This record gives sequence, structure tokens and C-alpha cells, in this order.
Amino acid sequence: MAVRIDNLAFRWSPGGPAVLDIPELEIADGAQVLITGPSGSGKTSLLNILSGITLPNSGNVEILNTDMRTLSAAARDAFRADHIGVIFQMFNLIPYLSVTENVMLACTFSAARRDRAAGAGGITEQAHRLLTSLGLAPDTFGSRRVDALSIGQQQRVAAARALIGNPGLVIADEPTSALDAANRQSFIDLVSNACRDCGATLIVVSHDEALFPFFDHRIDMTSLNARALSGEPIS
Amino acid sequence: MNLGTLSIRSLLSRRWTVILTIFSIAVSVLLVLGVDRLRHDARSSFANTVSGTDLIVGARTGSVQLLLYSVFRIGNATSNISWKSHADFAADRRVAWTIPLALGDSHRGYRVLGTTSSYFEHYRYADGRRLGMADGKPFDDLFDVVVGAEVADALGYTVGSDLVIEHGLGGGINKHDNLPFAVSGILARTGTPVDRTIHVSLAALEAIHIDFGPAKRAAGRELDADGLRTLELKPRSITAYMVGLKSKTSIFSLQRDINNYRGEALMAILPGVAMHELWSTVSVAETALRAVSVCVLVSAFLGMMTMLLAGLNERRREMAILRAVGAGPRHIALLLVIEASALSAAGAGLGLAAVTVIYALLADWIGATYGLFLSRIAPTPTEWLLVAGAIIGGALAGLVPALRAARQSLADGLIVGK
Ligand SMILES: Nc1ncnc2c1ncn2[C@@H]1O[C@H](COP(=O)(O)OP(=O)(O)OP(=O)(O)O)[C@@H](O)[C@H]1O
Ligand SMILES: [Mg+2]
Repeated sequence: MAVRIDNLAFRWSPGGPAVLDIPELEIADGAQVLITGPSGSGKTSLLNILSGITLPNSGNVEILNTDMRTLSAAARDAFRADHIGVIFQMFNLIPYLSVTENVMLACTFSAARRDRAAGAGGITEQAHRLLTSLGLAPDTFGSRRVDALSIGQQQRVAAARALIGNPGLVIADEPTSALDAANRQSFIDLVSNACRDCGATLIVVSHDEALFPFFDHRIDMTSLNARALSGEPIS
Repeated sequence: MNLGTLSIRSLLSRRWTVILTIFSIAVSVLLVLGVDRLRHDARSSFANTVSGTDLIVGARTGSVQLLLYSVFRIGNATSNISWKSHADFAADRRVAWTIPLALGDSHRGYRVLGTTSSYFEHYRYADGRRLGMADGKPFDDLFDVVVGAEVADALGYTVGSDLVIEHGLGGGINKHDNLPFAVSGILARTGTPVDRTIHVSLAALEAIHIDFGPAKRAAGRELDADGLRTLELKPRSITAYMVGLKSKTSIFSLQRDINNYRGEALMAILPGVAMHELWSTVSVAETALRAVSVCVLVSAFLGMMTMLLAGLNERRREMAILRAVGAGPRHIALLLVIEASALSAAGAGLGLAAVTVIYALLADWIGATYGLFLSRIAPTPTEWLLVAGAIIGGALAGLVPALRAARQSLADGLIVGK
């Protein structure tokens, strides 16, 4: 199971309003899930928990069969380095590194990821292969400065970085909102294919209903997180 | 890609602020090392002024004052001592040699020292080096003059040059211009006040003064040079004398005897002790200089801290990306500490290189101009230690932005200013 959530409650400050109250959520390995919901419904907060950045105040979270609550903060960082790829809405790339270096950056904090990339033919080779599969020829783009890329190209580099070293889970927070309509669909198409190739579970947050056909499942935050959003007190 | 390369790449992307920061650290390290070197060289050059002399004897006065006029040729004796008392102690069975010193006249701003050939034989400086002749020979004729290296350089004297000795220290009046003094030798450079001294025989000083005064001139007793040469000129008084002993064990007994001498009020000092006393008055300035240079270094580190702190806000994205790929707050903190260490290492290295190069380039000029001999060109172990200390200090200064960045990245998580 890629994600298993049980009676999760989360609030930003003690005594503050509950932002998340999720009785149950399960996402199977290899699934491709779209999370939709209005602004402020707690999508980003949920991704923070799924990536091990924050812990819920109560309830259980298992990511890739690992109970996050048993891990220290440092261990959760290491877990993220080993097993999770992250794509932001924009500004995904470090400006002083080249395209290929940005992709390989994901191997910096994880020996496991380095080893898996090496097992897949070598770190640089895998970076180049991923860039190619995302439509960026390494010969043309590999050594480019990232500010010489279009926004759509930058997002694809971020996807390659999320996927290098074969993580079990890729999460993306509104990765297409900076792209135009045509680019959104082709981007999601490329990312979902690349995840399928790597066997990674994909969880994408987006407002964009048009993306739904690319996913197997869709989770609506409003119904998932109903109790928190209705403002009911949480026991 | 590891944290080290990452931080270097990050620094390189902020080239200009980084270069300025490195420069300000380099300048302050240069200052700290430079002050330390000058202090060390000044001290050793000072300590090298005289060596091998067991006692210095003069009229009763302050020991620092006696040292100043006898060795450094600075200031004047309040009174002279008689030739007779000198002769008494020179004949003492404990005494190996003496160097009589008679000061008072000057020549174009340089002090004239009356002495004997004993000076060229027994005077020692630095670690026991004796005076060497760069050219010519010590004095032989009554009007022979031996000049120090700096005098020869500054006044353009060579062996055979004529010169005029002035009476007193003033410029111009009462020139003894009827006496044909000529340079017989030029001493090799010593880096001590000897370089700035003009040496004549005690007899020559007598000759200058025998004829001095309008009364005597009017009386028709004016003598020409050859006439003077025929006279037996005996000194009546000198300013001070240096004493070398046969055995060091008798230093204190002889010192006591000189201090208790009945004929006149004499004082014998141990040059080392007086040197130490003199240096400790100078060392206040030395400490102040040091404190200032350390303050400058601290302010350079504060500048670096400011630069790193100021950059944090616009680097929040960078930190969030690193967090996303698995960096913990520890890594973020370490990244900044590495940056601070790299900056201070580069600055300290540059400062050390600069001090070395400047020393190498200026050593000769400073030696010639100030008589200060710059001994060490290559960095010493102490300097490497100082540089290592600066790097550690820089790394510690980096802790402040490091902790701040770590806290910020914890608060930001993955969602930073969209
Ligand atoms: N750092 C924070 N500190 C306190 N409250 C926060 C913080 N971040 C978000 N919140 C609050 O938590 C709630 C959920 O925010 P979250 O960012 O998860 O929503 P979202 O569904 O991602 O919204 P959007 O679609 O606008 O990105 C909001 O009410 C928000 O004000
Ligand atoms: Mg959000």
C-alpha cells in the first residue's frame, strides 16, 4: 500500500482549527491519483504529511508501509530522500545548477537512490533517459542553465528529478497551474507514463478538472476532509 | 553532487557579494598577520641592536635613558664621565674589553660617535655578529671617519669623501670646517643604529674641540691639521662605555663596584634588562595595535554574517527544493556553515598570501629605509595556526545564519511563497 491513513487529524497550531480530519484513505501501489478541492481545503497540508515534512496531531500515516509516527524528523527526511519524489507548482529548480545537475540533485541526500540509479545504468544515464522520455533531449538541454528553459520545460526537469533513482511515490502540488491548457495535458501525460515505467505511485493535487482522464482515481478533498471543513469539533 | 560542491556552486552564483566578503576578510587577516609580523620583527630587530656586551656604564641617570643614548643614539647624556674612571675599570682584572663611546657632535643630521678601534673589534649585534667593512678600513689617521651603511647611502659617501663635523647637534653653526675629515671606511649594513652613525677616533673629537671657541682663535692658537696630528690628544671625558667581561659570573660584582665608585656618580646597566624595560613601555602600543587588528577581523566576520543572513530570504526556494529532495534542517545548517568556512578560508588564504607577497616585495625597501629587517618571508607555523583560527572563527560566525536557515526551512516545509 503506497498510502494508508487512519483517523488522521492535523492542525497548524495547537488549539487552532483542524485543517485535516481524514477518517480513512488508502492508495494502492502504482496507483495514479488526482486530488481536487477548493482553495484552503487542505490539499497542500495533506501533501506535507504524505512527504513526511509534518506529522499529524493524531491518527496513523503509513507511507510505503512505513509508519511515519515511528520515525524521527531526521529519519523522515531520509525516508523522503530515499522514497519520495516531489514536484512543486513552479520554481522547482536550483538556478546555479545545470539541467542534468538539477535532476541528479535528488541523489544527493540518499545513498539508496544513488544505488538504484546506478543499478538502472548509472546516475547520469538515468537522468538523460528520464529527460529524453519527458521530451527534453539531453544533448540540447542537459547542460543548459535552467533559466534558459520555458516554464513547461522546467516542470519536466522537475518531474525527471522526482523520478530519478526510482522512488516509490511521486507527489506533485499543482504542477500544471503555471502551464497553458495544451501543455498541462501533455505534461501530465508524460509524467504519468514515466511513473508507470518506474512503477511509482503518483499523487497530484490540482484544481484542473480536465486532468481527470489521465488518472485512475480522483479524491475530492471536500468529501475526504468533510468533518474538518464543516468545522465540527474533532474528538 | 554533495553538500560541499553545492555550497561552492551556490557561492559562485553570488559572485560579487562573495568576492567582496572574501576581500574584507583577506584585508583584515592581512592586517592581523602584518601587525604580528612587524611586531615580531621590530622586537627581534630591537633585541638585535646590541649583543655580547655585559654592562653599559655611564653617568648616573635612568637605565632606559642610558640605554637610549649609548645604544640607540637617541637623546643626550645629562653629563659625561671621566676618562680616568673608565681607565680604572678598563684595567680591572675581571674586564676583557671596553668600548668607549663619546657622543655630542653631529654631521648633517647623523650622530658622530667618538670611539677607539676596540669598537670594530668587540662591538657585536644580532646573535653575536661583528661589524664588517663594506669598503675601506677602520680609522688610522686622526681625520679618518668610518660611516655606517645608511649614512653612506643617504649622503652618497664613498671611501675618500671629505666631510665636515659640526659641533653639537644643531645644523649649521660652528662648523669645524677647517679640519679635513675624510671617509676611510664604510661599515656593512647591520640593521641597527650603527648604520646611522659616523665614527671617529676619540683623539679626533679632542682635536675638534681643542680649537673650538673664538677666544682661542683670537689668541692665535689656531692649529692646522698637521699641527694637530703632532699633538698627543688625550680624551678627558667620554659619554659611556661598553664592557665585556672575562667571565659572566662577575657581572654583578663589577656592576656593584661601578655603582659604588667613589670618584664619581657612575651607573652600570645590564643591556638585556634595560632593553626589556624599554620594550615593555613600547608594548602598550603594540597591544593596542593588535587589539585594533583583531577588531577589524571580527567586523569582517560580522560582515560575512550579514551577507549570509541577508541572502537567506531570497534563498527560501532553494532551501525548500533541498528539503524536497530529502535535506533535513541539519543539512541546511551545514550548507551555510560550509559556505561560511569556505568564505573565511578563501579570505584567510588570500590574506596570508598577500602578507607573504608584500613582505617578499618590501623586505629590502623596509630594511633600507627603516633598518627593520623582515626576517620571515614564508608563513610560520604560528601564522598557519592563526589562519586556521580565522577559518574556525568564520565557521562559528556561520552558525548564526545556519541556525536561522534551519529554523526557516523547518517552518517553510515544502510550501514557500508561490
Ligand atoms: N503555515 C501555515 N500556518 C498556519 N496555517 C496554515 C499554514 N499553511 C496553511 N494553513 C492553513 O491551512 C488551511 C489549509 O491550507 P492548505 O495550504 O493545505 O490548502 P490548499 O488546499 O493547499 O489550498 P490552495 O488550493 O489554495 O493551495 C488553510 O486554512 C490555511 O490557511
Ligand atoms: Mg495548496
